[in-house]
Amino acid sequence: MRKQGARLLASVMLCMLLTGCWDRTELNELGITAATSVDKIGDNWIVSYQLIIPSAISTLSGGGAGGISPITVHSTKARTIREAVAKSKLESPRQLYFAHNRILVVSERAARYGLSSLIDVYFRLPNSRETVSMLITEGSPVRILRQLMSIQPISGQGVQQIISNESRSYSLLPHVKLYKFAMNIVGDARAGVMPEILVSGSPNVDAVNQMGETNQPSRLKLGRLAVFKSDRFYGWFSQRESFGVSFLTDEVNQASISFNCGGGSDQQGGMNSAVTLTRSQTKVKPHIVDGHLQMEVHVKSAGMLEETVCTDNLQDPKVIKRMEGSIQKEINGIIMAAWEACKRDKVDVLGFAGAVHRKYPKQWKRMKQNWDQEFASADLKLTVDFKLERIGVSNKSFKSLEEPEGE
Amino acid sequence: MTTAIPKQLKVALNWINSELGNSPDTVTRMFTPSGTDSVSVGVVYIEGLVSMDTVNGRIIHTLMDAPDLGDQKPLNCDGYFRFLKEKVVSVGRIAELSTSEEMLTALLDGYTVLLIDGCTSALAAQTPGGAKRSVEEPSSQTVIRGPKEGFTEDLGTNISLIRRKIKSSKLRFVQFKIGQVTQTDVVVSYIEDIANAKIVDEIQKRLESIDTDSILESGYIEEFIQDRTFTPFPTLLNMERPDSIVGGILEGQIAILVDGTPFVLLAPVTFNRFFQSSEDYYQRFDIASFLRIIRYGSFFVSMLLPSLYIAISTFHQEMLPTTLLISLAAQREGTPFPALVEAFIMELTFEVLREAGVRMPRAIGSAISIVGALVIGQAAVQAGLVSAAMVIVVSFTAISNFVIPSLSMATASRLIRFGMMILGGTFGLFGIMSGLMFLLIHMAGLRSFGIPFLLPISPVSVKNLKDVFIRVPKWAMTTRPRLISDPQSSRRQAPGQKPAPPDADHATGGESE
Repeated sequence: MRKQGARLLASVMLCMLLTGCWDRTELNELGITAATSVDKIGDNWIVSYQLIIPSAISTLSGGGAGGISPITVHSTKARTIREAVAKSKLESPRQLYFAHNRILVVSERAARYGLSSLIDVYFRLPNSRETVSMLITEGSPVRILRQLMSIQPISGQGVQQIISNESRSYSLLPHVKLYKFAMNIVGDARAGVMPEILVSGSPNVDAVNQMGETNQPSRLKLGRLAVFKSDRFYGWFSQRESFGVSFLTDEVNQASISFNCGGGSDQQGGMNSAVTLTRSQTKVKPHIVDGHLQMEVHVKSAGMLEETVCTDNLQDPKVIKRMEGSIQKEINGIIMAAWEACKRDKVDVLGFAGAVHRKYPKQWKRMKQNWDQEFASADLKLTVDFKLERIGVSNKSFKSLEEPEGE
Repeated sequence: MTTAIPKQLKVALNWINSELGNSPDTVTRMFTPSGTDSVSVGVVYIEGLVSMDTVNGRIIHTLMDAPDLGDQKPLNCDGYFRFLKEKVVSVGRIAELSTSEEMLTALLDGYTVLLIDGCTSALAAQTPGGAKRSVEEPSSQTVIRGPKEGFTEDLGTNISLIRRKIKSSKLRFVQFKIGQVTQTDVVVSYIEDIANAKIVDEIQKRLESIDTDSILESGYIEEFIQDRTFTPFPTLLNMERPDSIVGGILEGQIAILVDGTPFVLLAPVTFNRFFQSSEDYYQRFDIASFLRIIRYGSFFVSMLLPSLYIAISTFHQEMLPTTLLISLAAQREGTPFPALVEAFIMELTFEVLREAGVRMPRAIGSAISIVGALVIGQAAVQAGLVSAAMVIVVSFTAISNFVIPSLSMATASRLIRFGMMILGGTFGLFGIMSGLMFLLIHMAGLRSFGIPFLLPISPVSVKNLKDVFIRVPKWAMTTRPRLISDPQSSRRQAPGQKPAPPDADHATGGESE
């Protein structure tokens, strides 16, 4: 018994010796990255890191002196991504830590070359998260990383908040996480999308003393939607087309749509009302009719009136019906724009391939050989159903009160 | 080895004096009672153990005022002995002694011994007294609602406190004398038909087998009779509150009272028993259940929080929200030691402060809190020795330790904490989980007088779960805990006692019609 205990104790003690150089890292040995960017110039990958300076952040929040940038950016260059990351050891006192990396910005150049190796790095390494938000930019991505943001001192975190807020409450651009992007480009459609990030305005705001002003000359902003065929960049979709893609891929949560309420001849025919979509659901049903692919898409959405100058009686069901009609037309137009863009580029970012594969597994075997062509020649049978559920707390438009016959 | 009491009174008294080393507190008195002129009587007692009022008023005074024997004199020894016993000594408990050793024991127990010249037997009258503390509010286990009385150092008082709460003829007190030198009275108390007879026998057997010089506190007994020594967990509960002890007795547990200490042992106990406070039963069941869950939570916090902090901040930084990570990292900037060392410094500092707080004279007690708060609270952080987060972790750990009602279980979590910190600092969360697994296996193997330590959970006993994590309302607890109490009588109260308003028509009848 005693001998056994001694043995047990000895083995535990020996274990203690082993762990000295294990993966234990103190917090003050970590270089926490908030954003990473990848660029490709020639044969070389250029990886840039936005490191958080914790002490600077804490003095910022403490209302302290300031003057120190909360982030620091540096770049390394090598033939492979991981070699570039390893090279940062030549210049960074801290061990780079990617688990809290919020955004991954790829340059268009790198995207044209192909992102397979980047995705492989993310899937292979245990401490990098596949839930990182992916963004694409024209030109050098270092510019994005160096740009300071007001309100949110860590711009990497800020950009992630922008994209996740936007996709939740505006739905124009999707929030693309790395694992989702990777799943899409290896899925049946072999196509993916990625929102664009850009610095609008110039010059760059990359010094803390510029932050003292109420308006910065440039700021980070989301732009268009990049379309990928396989792991390579293919082209750009405009925001309107991107909105349509959101509808077709059932990623609309909340959105704002302007429309013309119609009816009243006193209006100039422009947009004079707006609704907010409170929910939207898209159902995609593929059909093969005489060997021809037909996609039946049904969009069912509902919303609330948020703005109008229509003088019509909003309590009249007919008026509401008419309004719903013009909103449906508006949504229809948005979706058709996306559909045309997809057909133009012969790229199935809508995930129709998966739907076809599921419903017609046999025919799919034939179709997948030439899916891009099949997709481009498919028909879209679109029905949009919109229900105006609420008109807000005001029964009449303010405009109608101005009319002489109004009360 | 027994020796008869010497016939001659003088010899006997001298023998007693020499046996007790001519101790100044031994009082021997020889006199001739009234009503007789030929018989000498000796009165022996130890000052401080007896009540002087009783000795003077009930023994010496009555002897001196003894009724005239009239024509019966002169009496022989036996006759006079019986006369004293039956007519003179007006004390409740009386014993006839025939050996010198018995005489000594009786004296040391606080009896007054009466010797008659020429007799070989002596009379012992119980005259208990001496200095004792009155019943006060217990200092270590306080409640807001509930009785405020606590056990005292006096065994008789303690027995009476229990007896007063259970007015049942089935309440049993079995006395033992343990300790070759101290001859400490130990009393086992239980209710027949409610306590499990097997466990009562087992406890008595274990008590009888104790062979030691001294029993000064119930802790001595605990170490001799517990099922396993090498465990951080206590397998006997000690309590200062009569209501807790009585509650235990009524559930079939067995109390062990030791003379000279207000801490009464309760056995057999299971793990959950250490998280029950007697107040749980006096408060409403919802808040009682909530508090009980808080206590379990605090136990784990007090055991694990520093180790979790170490493990997560040195191995699993990805588990923290980014903002928290940044703020922790900012605090760690400039701290010289690894988190493990930092935590050890802080924990040990706290333990030192805590021990100092207990040992320190009351008068300078407030100084320690000031020094402690300043030293570990502020100065250490400002000097950059430790991070502010670590101070928060250590203080919250310390506070949650005090939530556990039983001090012995709180101590267990204090000790385990250090082991866990080493595990967390070397193996991360994996180490902590392994440690917890080891603890769980260990606990599952523990027994308290044959009862599995984790009883209602492992082995699962659904009926016993009514008073573990939550306390169900009183009317729902119809049975006593299984295994602990007597298997033959498990019914505690009648079922279906849930209160309800009277029938609707009856209640509203007057108003509606």
